[in-house]
Amino acid sequence: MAEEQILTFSENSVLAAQLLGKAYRSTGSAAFVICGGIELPRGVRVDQVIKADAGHADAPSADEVVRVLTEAVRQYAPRVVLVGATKLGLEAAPRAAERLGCGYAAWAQDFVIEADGLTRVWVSVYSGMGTAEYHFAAETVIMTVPAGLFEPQAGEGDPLGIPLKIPMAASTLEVLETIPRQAQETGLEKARAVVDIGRGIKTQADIPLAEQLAQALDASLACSRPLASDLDWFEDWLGLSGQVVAPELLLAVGVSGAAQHIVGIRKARVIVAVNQDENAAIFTAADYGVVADLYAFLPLLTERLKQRQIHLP
Amino acid sequence: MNLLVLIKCSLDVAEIKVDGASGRLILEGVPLRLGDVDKNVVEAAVRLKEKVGGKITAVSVGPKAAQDLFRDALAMGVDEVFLIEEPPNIPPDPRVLVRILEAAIQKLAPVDLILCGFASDDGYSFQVGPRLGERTGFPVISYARELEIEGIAVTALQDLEERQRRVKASLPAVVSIAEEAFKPRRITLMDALKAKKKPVTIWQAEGDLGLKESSYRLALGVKVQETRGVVTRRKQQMIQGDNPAEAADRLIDLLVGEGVLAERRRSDG
Repeated sequence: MAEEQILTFSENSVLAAQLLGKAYRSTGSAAFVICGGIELPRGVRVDQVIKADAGHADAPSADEVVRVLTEAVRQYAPRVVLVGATKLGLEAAPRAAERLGCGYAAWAQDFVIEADGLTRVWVSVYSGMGTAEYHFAAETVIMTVPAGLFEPQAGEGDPLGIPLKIPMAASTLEVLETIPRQAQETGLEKARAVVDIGRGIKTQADIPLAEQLAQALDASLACSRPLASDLDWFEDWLGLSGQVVAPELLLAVGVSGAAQHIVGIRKARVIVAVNQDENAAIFTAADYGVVADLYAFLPLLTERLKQRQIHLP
Repeated sequence: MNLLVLIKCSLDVAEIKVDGASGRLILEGVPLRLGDVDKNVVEAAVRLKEKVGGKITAVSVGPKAAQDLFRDALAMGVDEVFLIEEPPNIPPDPRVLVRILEAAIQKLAPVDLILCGFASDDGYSFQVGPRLGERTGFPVISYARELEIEGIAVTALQDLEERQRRVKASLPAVVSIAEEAFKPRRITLMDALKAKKKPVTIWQAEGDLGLKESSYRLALGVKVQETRGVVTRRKQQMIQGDNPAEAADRLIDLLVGEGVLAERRRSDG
């Protein structure tokens, strides 16, 4: 295999397709590492599938992914391994890097493989406030890559399947119970307008205020981390550790504007912030700001949008 | 039960500014504070100690100036803090950090359970728990929301993306605490007074842990070339209005002017 080989891994097929696209455009070949119940992303270019037999078809454990990544790096000595920055990826990738003693970059934004053996990686630092450039000398560099950075490469066909033997090991964790979450098709990645709500929405019963605004605008509804992670009102949130959106218009309502949240919304073309606190950080990240009580302002805005028959262009 | 909590005084990320002209990150004057998730870690440990008894030892790596910033952790129920002074001239890289922590854990042995945050507020790279699991050979449970000790095992509810999972591991183990899990308790005046008597000991990586600089410098394998701020150019225009309705109309006019919204003209319909 080529010396500049890139391997990719993600249990999330949307992310996997993006990583494969980047690998193909960088080296002319897209190789995917697979184990357990992970599925090959459909409709995208894949040249090789390196299949580890986990002995089951369930979601792989972090222990298994560490062994699979470690073994794949030992056998193929790739220059770069791209791992989707999911919770599983963010645990397994640094463990594999520690086990192998190879390079690791968390939250990689982009990278370049130089001819002289140098790998340059640009990563997000300080919760997305900054970007650092890392230089790794010739060795494997494992990177965790968040969603939304790279385009998938359309393609089809019959990738070459290569079995990968992984050493057996007793599981260190005994699974007692699995509680699935309902998968939500949010369509946020493609939304042209997004209403983004934060802690300014005081109770779950108040969410319709924002929903009505979103409906009037034909916008998708999204939230900041506490509403999903702490309060469980939503499945996913916008931010460095959540989803990244790039709509034409984003209305941040009752959002304080934590640095990690801004990373999820700063690709929007126009950002509007509505917040009661005139010193809220969100106003420095917005094009237009309204200091107002959202409980009074949102119904009015929704009403005016309807009366004036405002719509997305 | 010997509970070890790994906590960190992080830069207050909300206070980091970017110089718009040069793109430089302005880190000077940004205060250090015990991280949000680190308080969750302490709360998780205190709740375990209340159930099974034992001692909570906190270990931290950071500048000497951090020694006064552990008061809240001590008041919440940490018994003792060891602050390992950050080695000079070494970037605060997780690769280096886990080698220092590993040495401290060996010195404090026997340890039953190691608790840390899923990521620090400022570094936010999710590496310390996973790497430490590899270094120590202990099982790793990441993103825990609930914790129980049962005999010589720990069970935890893991908060993963598409599912939650209850898992069990034998002790000693490394457990990372999920974001916003284990809401920190309120501190009473009595707690704060008691905390003043609890020891904060400063250790040197070489003098106290026997770590030669060359041993962790080798682990680095990476050069940080340049760190720049992400410059966002936004209009930051505040909309005033005599009343909310007027502000709403003005906002709509501006968004129509930007071309992100359109107004249906009378003749259209």
